[in-house]
Amino acid sequence: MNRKLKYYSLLSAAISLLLFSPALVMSQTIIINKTNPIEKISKSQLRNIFLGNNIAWENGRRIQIVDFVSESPIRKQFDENTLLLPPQKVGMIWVKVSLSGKSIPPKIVHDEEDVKNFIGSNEGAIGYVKNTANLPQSVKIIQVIDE
Amino acid sequence: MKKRITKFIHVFTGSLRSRLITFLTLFLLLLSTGYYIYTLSVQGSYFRSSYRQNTSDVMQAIKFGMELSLEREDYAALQKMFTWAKSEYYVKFIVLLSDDSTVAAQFPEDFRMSKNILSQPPSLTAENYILKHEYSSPISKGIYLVGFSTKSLRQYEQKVLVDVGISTLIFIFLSVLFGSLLSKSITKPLEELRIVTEKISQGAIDERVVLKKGTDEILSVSASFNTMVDRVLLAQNDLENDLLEAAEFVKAILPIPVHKPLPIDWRFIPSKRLGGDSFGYDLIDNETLAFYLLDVSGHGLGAALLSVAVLNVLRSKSLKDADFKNPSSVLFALNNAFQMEQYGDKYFTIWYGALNINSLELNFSSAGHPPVLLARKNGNATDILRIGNKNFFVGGMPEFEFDTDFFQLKENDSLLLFSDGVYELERKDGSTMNLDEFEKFLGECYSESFTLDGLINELKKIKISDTFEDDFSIMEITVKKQN
Repeated sequence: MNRKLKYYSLLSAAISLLLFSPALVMSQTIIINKTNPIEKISKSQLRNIFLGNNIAWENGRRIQIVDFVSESPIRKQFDENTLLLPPQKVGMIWVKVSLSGKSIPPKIVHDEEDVKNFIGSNEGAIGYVKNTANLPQSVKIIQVIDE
Repeated sequence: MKKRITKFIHVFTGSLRSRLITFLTLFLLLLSTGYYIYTLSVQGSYFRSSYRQNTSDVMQAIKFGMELSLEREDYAALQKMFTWAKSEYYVKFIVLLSDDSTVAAQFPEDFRMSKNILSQPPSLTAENYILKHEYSSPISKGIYLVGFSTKSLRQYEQKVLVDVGISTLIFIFLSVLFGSLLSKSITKPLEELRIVTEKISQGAIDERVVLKKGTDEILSVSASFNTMVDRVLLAQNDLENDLLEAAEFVKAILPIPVHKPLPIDWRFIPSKRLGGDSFGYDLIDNETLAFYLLDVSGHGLGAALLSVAVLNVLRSKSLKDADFKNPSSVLFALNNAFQMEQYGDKYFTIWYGALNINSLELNFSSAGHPPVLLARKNGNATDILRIGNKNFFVGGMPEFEFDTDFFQLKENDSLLLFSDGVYELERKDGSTMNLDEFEKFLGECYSESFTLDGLINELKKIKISDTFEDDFSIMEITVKKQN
């Protein structure tokens, strides 16, 4: 299963690189800290989390988003496909979140390694990556279900 | 009511001390009020300007923090910055507006922004002082508004109002206290000086100001005052000695009491100020006795000198064209010789009589002088009769014709010739005795054993003081036919 996924994603990355068409590259893989009991997540839950409406996991732990800078293609793709908003709008929502102070504002990083490392060391963290190779031990993938 | 106000004002305008305190208090009140208003305005404007500065700093910090953290997409930093801004006690609300003027984010979340906030200029007197600024970042740009509470400003202004007011009141209180102590230190020696002058003016001439150590002006005034009183007393002493000497001189030229041809006695008590009384008697020829008493107007050496001069003329019979047996001729000559313009505006009254000691016929003339009182036995009683006529005083009107009148005396009649100083006395009830009252008084106290000293003692009993204000001159002639 893992191997298949890995192969698939590598292939898709190659194709996208070849064709310069990110639209063709399919969805990102959502990863969380291994201590988090969650195994799957719906798209709407994902949207709620990333737009600051849902601030805690079911076990009460505070949700800590880690995301890419707004210029990065993977962010653009995630925002448009999953959150259904352009990255600027998402940024504005996070400004709103920062001002309200209710939830932990997202951690913005530049590359996937940073995402993986951050999630590995923060129990409530959630993020997404394209490349699932070399995932640290403390990170696990959760399945996104259409609901 | 008006009286009450005047009385109230008088408290503050009366004594030097009250005036000093009032002046000082008013001055300090004015100063304090000025200081109060000045401090309020300075403090107020200082606080307003620092308030503006602080709010402007907060605005700048928000802009800087927002732009920097948005450029780096560091939302943790952004949140920290907002947390700081929100924690500023006077930040009431923060609103972020997008390009299209819609609210993108706001604090607090239930804040409802009124639409005219954007068009209003910031005002410190409004409940909230609202500042707006533009910001721009790669993620978003627009306007942010921050509302600052002006409550602290008003609270501060009230605090300053009270604090400065209290300190001003304390200042006024201390100043008035100090001023009153200061004015007391100034007025106390003045008050002592006043008390001493009052005592001296009431006759306690030995009182002096007790001089304390120091160099201030009031002390030197007090010292000078003491010296002045000493000098004045010395001068007064000299003057009194002069007057005493003059009185002695007047006494010296008065004739001595005699028993022949008739018993004549007299008493002369010069007043402290020395009056102008003098008198005399002479035998003009074998049977005519002339006697007279005169009283020059005013007091002092001038009056005494004129009196002595007139007496000398009468004694030496050196009056031109005068018949000394004829009173009106004597008074006429005296009147022409002693006109008041030539004698320092002094005039005199005189009673002049010429008595035939054999026939006891009395010719007399009185020039403005009290009449002679005659005591005549009438059985067991004694009648008091007046012997006088009315003429102008001597020295007032040149060429005045004086009348001579006649009176037939009897054996054992007693004539009393005197000046007004004898009866014009202040009695114990404050009233002054007049001639009628003196006449009555004399009738009551006249008896076989009547003496001049007895009369003087009786008069002293009804007088308010022991001394006589005017010269006291009285002459008694007892009529006894010569054998």
